[in-house]
Amino acid sequence: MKKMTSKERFMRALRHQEPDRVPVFLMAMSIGAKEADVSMEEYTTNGEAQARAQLNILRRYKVDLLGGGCGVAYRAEAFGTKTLYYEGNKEPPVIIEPAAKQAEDWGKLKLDMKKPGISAYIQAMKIIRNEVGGEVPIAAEVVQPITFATHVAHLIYVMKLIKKDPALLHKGLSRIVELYNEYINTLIDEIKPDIFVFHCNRASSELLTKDQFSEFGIPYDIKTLEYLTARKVPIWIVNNGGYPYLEMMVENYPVDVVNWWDRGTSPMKLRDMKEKYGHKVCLAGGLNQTAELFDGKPEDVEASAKDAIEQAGRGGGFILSAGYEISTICPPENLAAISPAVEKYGKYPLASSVTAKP
Amino acid sequence: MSESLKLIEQLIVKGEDELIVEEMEKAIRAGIEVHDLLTTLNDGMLALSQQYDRREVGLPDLILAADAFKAAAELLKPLLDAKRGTDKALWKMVIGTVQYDIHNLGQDLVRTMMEVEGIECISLGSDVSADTFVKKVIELDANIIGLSALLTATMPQQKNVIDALTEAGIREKVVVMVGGAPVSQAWATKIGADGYAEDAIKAPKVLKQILLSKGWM
Repeated sequence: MKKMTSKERFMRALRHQEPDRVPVFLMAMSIGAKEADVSMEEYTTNGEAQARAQLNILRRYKVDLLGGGCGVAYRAEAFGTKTLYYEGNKEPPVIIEPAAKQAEDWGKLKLDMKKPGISAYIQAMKIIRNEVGGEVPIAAEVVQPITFATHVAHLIYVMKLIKKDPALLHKGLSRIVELYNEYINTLIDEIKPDIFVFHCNRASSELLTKDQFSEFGIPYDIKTLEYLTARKVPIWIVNNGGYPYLEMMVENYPVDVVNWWDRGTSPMKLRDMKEKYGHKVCLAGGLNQTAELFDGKPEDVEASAKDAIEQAGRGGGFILSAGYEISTICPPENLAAISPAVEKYGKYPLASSVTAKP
Repeated sequence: MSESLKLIEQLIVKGEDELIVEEMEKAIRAGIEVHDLLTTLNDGMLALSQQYDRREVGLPDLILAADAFKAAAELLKPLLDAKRGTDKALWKMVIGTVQYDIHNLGQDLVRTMMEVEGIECISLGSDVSADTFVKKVIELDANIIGLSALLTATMPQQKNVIDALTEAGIREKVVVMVGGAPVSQAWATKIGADGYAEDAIKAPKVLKQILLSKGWM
């Protein structure tokens, strides 16, 4: 098959068609800064430094999709939290004071896209688009409202509201979604992303029961995703291990790609999801950010990549990725093992040994 | 079980931190034994934790129950102190979230669960440096240390604390437990921690096994 650009490759996978090979994506934010020898403070507040770090990841590891930013704190800052950017080291920024501490604060939440973190992020993504956007797809990001609420306010406060003052939490979530309209549309206008990553960290039965997630998660997720579908931007859901909510989201949301910690605690493995939802969504995963990527050897990474392609590669609709962000302690040689593994096992048409069902 | 104790157990499960104080005060005035009250509070937490294991309740329910437990246990403190006299708690745990990580929830829950088991817990909060952990272990003469990390980026700090304990020559005097969403048993083993619990509910059980295996119990 003729060699494709990353964009062609990615878009074919998204449409459940076979590209020339399995595309690769790494959520490599902190480690991107580390490998470019950029402090996290600089990375998160200087768009040029952030772009340089991500472009370094692109060139070094031959990924097929680029994102930016790091964590939630810089995004929450645009909604009124106080964020601390550690000076000169490799740690991501943190929220040191929430924006919503009491009932009346929720209604006063405001959006300021000129805050240092978010404006650096937008600048970085524009630089990346200008440099490689013709050939490499760009991902923008938004955090699901219930998850974002636990950053704009303290997690324990939000959890208590679920039981003690659900009406107030609904008011807060409605305000977040209202502000998301401007937030998302600004990012789309400025960055022109090829896809939007929708982070669903709190969609987990370790936090919320099905009833609680149905009441405080789903309705606000759907409203947020409507902003994206109205602008015809594909949606990539990241849900690191939140069984059974992963399936609820795939069944109910207008999702194009689903990415979860398939090598972690989730009982849903790539093979299961391919079987059940492979016709509906493109799957992303197969590499374990808490095991072989930082704790294994390059041959372990190669074995994981091969196994993932065996599980989900057939017919396209698969992107090789980790379940979540890559740790800064991940050895570069392990990340460097991904691209050769994909060249070896992930070229379409896949070898019969790779596609044979177990 | 008396009606009063039944009600107190239900109030723990429902996380009613104000109503439980009223009921506890009534029970204390009625002369119900401190031991029976404490057992009832523990039973309530245990019942809720079993519901949580079955995912019938969520974190909001656990948090409110922990608040109710704390409020109720606070009333028992003077009575317990009077009974115990000057005896110190046998087990003392220093707990905190490692440096550059400000997530507190996990350690808050673990602390509550440990306190339920009678272990004195001192929280150092979040973003705690390895040096501070070591200093506090020495200063407070703690024999257990709990290290929480909620980010893959901050997990290595758990190892830094263990290395600092070794450097200070006190590693063998303390049980080191690690936890947090990205942490696993494999990671705990790799960095030389004594134990790992996948959630707060299981943490006291894991600790007990470690103490038994070390012959400390």
